Amino acid sequence: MNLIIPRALEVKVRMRIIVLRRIVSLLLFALWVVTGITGTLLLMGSLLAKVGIYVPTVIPDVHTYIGFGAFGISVIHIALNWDALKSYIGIKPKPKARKK
Amino acid sequence: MRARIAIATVLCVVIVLLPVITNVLENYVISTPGQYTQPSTTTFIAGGGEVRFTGCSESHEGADTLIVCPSKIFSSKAGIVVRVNITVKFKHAQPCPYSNWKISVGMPSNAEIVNESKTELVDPYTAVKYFYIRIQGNGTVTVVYNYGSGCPYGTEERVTVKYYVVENVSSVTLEQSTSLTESTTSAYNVFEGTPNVNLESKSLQINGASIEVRGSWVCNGKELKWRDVLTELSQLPPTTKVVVEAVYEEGAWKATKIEFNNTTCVRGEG
Repeated sequence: MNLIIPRALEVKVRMRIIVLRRIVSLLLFALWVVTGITGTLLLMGSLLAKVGIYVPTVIPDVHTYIGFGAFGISVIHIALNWDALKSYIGIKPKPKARKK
Repeated sequence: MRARIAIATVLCVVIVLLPVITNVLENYVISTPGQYTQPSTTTFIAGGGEVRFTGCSESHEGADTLIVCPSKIFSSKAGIVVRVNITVKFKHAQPCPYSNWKISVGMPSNAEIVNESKTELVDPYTAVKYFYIRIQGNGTVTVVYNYGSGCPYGTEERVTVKYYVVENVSSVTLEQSTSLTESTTSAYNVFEGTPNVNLESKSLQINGASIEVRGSWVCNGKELKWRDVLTELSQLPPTTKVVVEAVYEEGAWKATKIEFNNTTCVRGEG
């Protein structure tokens, strides 16, 4: 009985991490797209104005807030994928202690 | 793993809130009294008239701020010329990608613009301009700052300066203005007549008004000292008409331009 509960907990935690990873990845992707589009609009603002297209005044604020949102979410993304990141630079993850 | 995710979440919240915190702090710093000098209301006698100013008006619809001083002018008689100072505080350093921004002064009602300076960038975050307005009656003049075309931080800032001709200027109650800039407001006038020169007080009198002549001057391309200018004026035939442009600063009229007998003298830098 004592052996089953920790195992079930471990599975539950792993499931939660998988769900969290999924949410974080999708959110980060969405924020990345918005930041990229608004950044491009800001870059091309003066060029577009010459052909009569004006960038909405809300775009700089959207770019700033969404950009910082992406920056914040990326910190969680790194934390979730820390072991993978370490392995990319050649640091082997510590072997996990075997559970009896 | 759990601890790592918890720390990452805290960091995430801090980073996400960073622009919000920065905005709040920025607004707090701008609205904190003492960051800028409150312009004082000035009352003085100008060529037999009295002029009273209130502080400044500002417009901050977009990222930049347009400040115009004074915001209200009360003159005891028509014909008095007053200097209006315009300042634009940029949020982003100049030159910016949307560089065709401009400051313009609209057509005044019951007044005329007698002199308008060019816009000058005093530092990457500040542009200044001024104009002199001759008040003929009650009216308004609008100052507009247009953002560069395509600038996503705003389209325009607009401030209206109001002026009134009232009999008893001293009795006018001036409401406190919430201004955000240091400014010096001065009046400007043109005096015409035959001058009485007083070398001791470095001044000349025209129609009862005393005008100081100081520093170095350039007369028809020739550099002169104040003493030479006053000496030349004192040697003029008594019927010679002299036109003097002067600004009212530090409690006295100070000549900036003197015209007589096809000679034009302009005050130099010294």
